[in-house]
Amino acid sequence: MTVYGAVFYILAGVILIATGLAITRRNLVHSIVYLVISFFGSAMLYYLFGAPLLAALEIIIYAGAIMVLFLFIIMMLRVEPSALRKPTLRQWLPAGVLGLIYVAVAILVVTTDPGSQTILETALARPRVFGRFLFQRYWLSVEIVSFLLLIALVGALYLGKAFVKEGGDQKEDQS
Amino acid sequence: MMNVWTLFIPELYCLLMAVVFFGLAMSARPNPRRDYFAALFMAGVGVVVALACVRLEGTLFFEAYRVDLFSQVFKVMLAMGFFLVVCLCTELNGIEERHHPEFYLFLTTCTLAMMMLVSSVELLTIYVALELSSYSLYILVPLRRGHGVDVEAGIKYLMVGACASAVMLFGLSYVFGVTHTTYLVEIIHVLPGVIGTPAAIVGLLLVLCGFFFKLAVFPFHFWAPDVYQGAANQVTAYIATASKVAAVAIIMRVVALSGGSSKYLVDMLVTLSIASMTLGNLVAIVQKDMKRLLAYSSISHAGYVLIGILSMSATGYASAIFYALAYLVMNLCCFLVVVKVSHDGSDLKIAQLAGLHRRAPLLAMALMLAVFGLAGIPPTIGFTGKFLVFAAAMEKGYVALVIIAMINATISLYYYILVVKAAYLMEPDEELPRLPVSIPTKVLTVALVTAMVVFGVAPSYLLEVARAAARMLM
Amino acid sequence: MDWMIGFAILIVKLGVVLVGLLLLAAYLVLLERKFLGRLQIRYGPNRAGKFGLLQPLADTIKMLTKEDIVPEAADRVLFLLAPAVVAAEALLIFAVVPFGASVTLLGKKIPLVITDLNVGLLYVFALASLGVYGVALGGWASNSKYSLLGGIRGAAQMISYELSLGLSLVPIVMLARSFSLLDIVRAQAHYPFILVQPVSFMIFFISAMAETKRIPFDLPEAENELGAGYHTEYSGMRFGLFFLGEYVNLQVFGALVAVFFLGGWRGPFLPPVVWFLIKILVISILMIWVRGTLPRLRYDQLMHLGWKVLVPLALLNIVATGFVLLIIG
Repeated sequence: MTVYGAVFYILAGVILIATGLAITRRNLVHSIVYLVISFFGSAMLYYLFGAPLLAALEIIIYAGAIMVLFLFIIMMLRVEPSALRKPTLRQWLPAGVLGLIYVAVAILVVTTDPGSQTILETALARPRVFGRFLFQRYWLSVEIVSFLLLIALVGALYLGKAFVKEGGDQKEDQS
Repeated sequence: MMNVWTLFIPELYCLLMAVVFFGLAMSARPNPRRDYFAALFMAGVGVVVALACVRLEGTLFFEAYRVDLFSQVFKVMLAMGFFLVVCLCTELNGIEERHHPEFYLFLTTCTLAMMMLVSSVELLTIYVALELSSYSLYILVPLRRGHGVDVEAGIKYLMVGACASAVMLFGLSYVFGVTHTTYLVEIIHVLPGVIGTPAAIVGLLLVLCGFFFKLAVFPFHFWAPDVYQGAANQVTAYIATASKVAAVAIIMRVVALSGGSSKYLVDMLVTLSIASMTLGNLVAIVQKDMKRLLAYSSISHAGYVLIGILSMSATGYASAIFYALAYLVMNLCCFLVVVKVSHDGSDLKIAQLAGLHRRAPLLAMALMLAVFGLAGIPPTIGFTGKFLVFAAAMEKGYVALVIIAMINATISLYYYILVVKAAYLMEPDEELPRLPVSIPTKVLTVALVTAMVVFGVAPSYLLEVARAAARMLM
Repeated sequence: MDWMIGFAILIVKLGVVLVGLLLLAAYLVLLERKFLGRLQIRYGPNRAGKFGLLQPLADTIKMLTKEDIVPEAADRVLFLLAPAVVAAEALLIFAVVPFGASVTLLGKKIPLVITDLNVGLLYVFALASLGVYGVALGGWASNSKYSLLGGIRGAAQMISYELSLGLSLVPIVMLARSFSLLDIVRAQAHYPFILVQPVSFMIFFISAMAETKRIPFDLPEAENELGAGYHTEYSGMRFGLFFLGEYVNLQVFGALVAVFFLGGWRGPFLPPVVWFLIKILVISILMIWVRGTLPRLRYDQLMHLGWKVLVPLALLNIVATGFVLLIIG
């Protein structure tokens, strides 16, 4: 096993464990911390695979922005761990069965696919090359995504506004 | 360069519409009449534009986007679906007046997204276009006046949608891993060769899951009844028609990638098709709410369309295209009646249809024809569609599947007839006034009914177009 | 062998930078107290050593020997971890900051930067955005109302200003055509970017102050309403780590301003490293001066400034820069 291989497996292990812990913790803040660790691990993996730009963006966007927003909301709402219901067997069973099926399929895919045996070459995607590639070949996708964000923004504004409006009416009633 | 943008005209036109509604949404005072007529006019022009562009061909944006007869036919259907849904918005009572421009805006963006969806031949573009259409719908569903059911429906839709997206992305990563490209043109050369490997088949199936969610095929159907019931009637009409058509188109594109040689894929599609049909039809029997009934009927119809697709032959695809068009027309006709009968925008119980033949004979007639069409009774377009689909499957030798589908069609007859019975034979508890039906509505109803019957009796022209479009896939 | 030398050089560089940073942080505290004292017509600390020069040492001893209290209801692990996150994040940023052009020592060229990442600027942002966790988690884990409020404010404030901070630097990247901090300094060979990007500089400076949570943006701490906000419950060296983090952050932003706007280590007569230190100090003093002058913003003013003034301004600046670059080619 090369050094790269060893680092890969260590990181993969960290990601798996952290993600597993993130989805099983009862305490939401702990979940977030584990999820951040998992994102961190993914970022390291990207770096290992020669994509430093993606690694940095993964941390900035996922760990640094989205998860902070989650944390912010959880802190604001003060969700108590005990307030969450324990899932019943009826909820566990399908999830468990599907999970098992998935594990079986994954093992099958890994063991039978000749593609999984090839050793990948180490590569390096420089930011400049990466940007050129993205904005030329995937120009349309980038444009659609920007439009998508605009729509999401309008939608969020609408949903948020509807709520504020009701609050505002109450205030008028009081005065 | 000029040429490139000509190819993109229907989408550009939709974008222009979106900009206009965005501007209208900014205006301080709500003006539903202005919004409605603006939407009606522009949607009408949109149909003309889409029709005018039907013969265009070419690729653009680094081959990520292909304009051919297949995509253009679906664009025409989408534009028509959009236009007809806008026609139903004369009394948009389900949605607060100040939100009407937003309503049209999201309808437009959804149409735009689906137009791009049917033209995309690159996995990433397909994915983001699908997401754009989904996001528009996520917002349209809870847009309904009065909070409660709608919020629940909106959240359910979002949750199932997000899960389907995640599954689909996972599948995309497999497909990319196997083929090392995101371009369908290249995938179609590589994938049939490796379709036997588990990674390829799992990837393709997971990708399809994302589209099955849109079409409400069996394991991804949970959202349909609640969303149909929870959303405003017009929004439901849109989800039930235009969005289904786009899903059919993209499923065909992806299934065509397999090259038609995978037994696993066919088996899987057969299973899903049977499950969808049976579940949809059996559960539909006990429904009391008209929109919930239509939701379960749409689940079963997803199963029928899959029969055409899983034949994986030119006739199969052509029959699926025809079926999609037939379904668009019939379902819109049903929703026309739903919208008109419950003109205050509330949900419609089947029992509320009682005495419809006296309150509005034209609507009752249209409802009867549409429902018979959905059940597959001649001489409607629904019968022709079902016939073509079954014929394509027989050609491939899927006899058992066709027999099961026919049994299903018979079961479905039961609840469809219940609807007709409610409209024609039941009497309301108290005498209800006649329903006012305006001249434009009458024209629209007559046009839809004519289309249903004429294309049911003489489908040859449409079938030719469908065949020509389907050839683009092979 | 070559590999060994490289490793040794790296260790030496790390050591020098770390010691330098800690020392500078300690004396920045003293400088701040003295300077603030003067601004408020007082003497400031002057008992420990000549001019109070031993004050940092005394402070350190005090912090290290104080009892480290962990509140009983606190979330122990996160409570212990949070200060370390803040301090580590600030220190790690310096890994990509270039202190000077390379020097030749014993026939070997040694770049005066710990590592030159080709995404250095994004690395800085990644770490800066992680700093929020120290504040938010510290506030949450203390299980105290004041701390929680401080933590929430900190999270909201930092995430808002991170946006304008990032956007303000886009024109710099456009001008330098690289994310590498070394390249950005090299691109300023003829003129420092502050001359062509004054708006960008202003936005960056204000946002940086907000990111370091200094007056007038110290709402997460706000002594007179929240006690000390997110670090109310901390004592001893853990409090010290928060403190250290704050002053290292001061240097970080001094250094970043120097790299992005003031031409990095460039300057006449004096050696590059000295110029760099001078620039850091000048920026730090400027920030202290602001602290001595301005009152604290109200919360809505803070959000208004961030979202409705700085972000649109930064966006406009990007468009304008792109336009000009397009015209000049």
